[in-house]
Amino acid sequence: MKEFILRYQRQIILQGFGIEAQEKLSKANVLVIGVGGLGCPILQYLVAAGVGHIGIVDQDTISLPNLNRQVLFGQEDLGKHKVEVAATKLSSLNNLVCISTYQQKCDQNFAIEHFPNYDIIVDATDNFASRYLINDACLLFNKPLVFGAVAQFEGQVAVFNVQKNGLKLCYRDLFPTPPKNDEVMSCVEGGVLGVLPGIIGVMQATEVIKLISGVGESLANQILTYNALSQEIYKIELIKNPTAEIEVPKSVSAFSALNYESLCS
Amino acid sequence: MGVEILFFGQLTDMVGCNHFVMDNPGNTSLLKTQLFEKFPALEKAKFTIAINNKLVLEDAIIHEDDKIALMPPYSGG
Repeated sequence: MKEFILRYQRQIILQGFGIEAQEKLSKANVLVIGVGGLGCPILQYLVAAGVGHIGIVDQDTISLPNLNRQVLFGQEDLGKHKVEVAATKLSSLNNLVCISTYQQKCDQNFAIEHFPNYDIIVDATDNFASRYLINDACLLFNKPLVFGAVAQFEGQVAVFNVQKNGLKLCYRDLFPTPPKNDEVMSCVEGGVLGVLPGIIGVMQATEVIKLISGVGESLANQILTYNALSQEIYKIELIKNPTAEIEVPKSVSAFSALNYESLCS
Repeated sequence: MGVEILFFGQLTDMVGCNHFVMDNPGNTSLLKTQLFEKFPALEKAKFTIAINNKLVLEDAIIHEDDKIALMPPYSGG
């Protein structure tokens, strides 16, 4: 208990945070999907802040072009599995946090098996197939979703499926159907400034901490866009989109039957 | 006078800038028609429209001095 108080002292003494919020953090279960540019800073800050149990999902290994932004990894880690290296580094950062690793893709079976065990889902993936799958699974299992995405010099942050002013909105209210391959550029094609996912990931971690602790006002029902070149933030209020309702699978079997990869190609 | 149009993400590459002012087209359908004529690449791009920081669905009325944002989805992480 003494170590607990001492370790989190700087946030426990915060007005409106206190030991109560810290205890809420230590009891929380958060699933972070994707250990890339967004996932690295999200994990570092959630672990440092003392979120009790964190699940991390990624099937990839570490490659040289990852290192401009994926700050949990070093040159000696090239070729190793991201979740393994991340878990080792994160455990040495804070051994009060329990880390579960899933070295696999977040597909429908994974979501059905694991989403119900977590309080908050964090989307730190890098493709639309995963983003729509995660969005739909969060609606199915009624889980708050903290969304983040980047492209070149800009990033988006949002909190979905959290009730605010009588409304509970999701990514499909913004974009009801996934874009086709030729409608958007990926980071592989368009590039990304290394610091950008750092900023967006830290914003996502902030929203996770706010949702768990209850401090501040969550970004629910809004999308925030950040531009690194101008340092400008632009927020848009979301509204219910009737098309979203039609597109969302309504049952586990309807969800399982969808082919998310082909929706995005 | 007129309306200000803000572009985000890769739309700025297609338009060549991140904002400009134009005469009020009247509604979002006419706005799109005019923009697609001037910037044909936009027609193939996916984006959503917000007026004065609030999302709108198809065919929303545009008023003088409104600020209109065109926002594409981002995929990177």
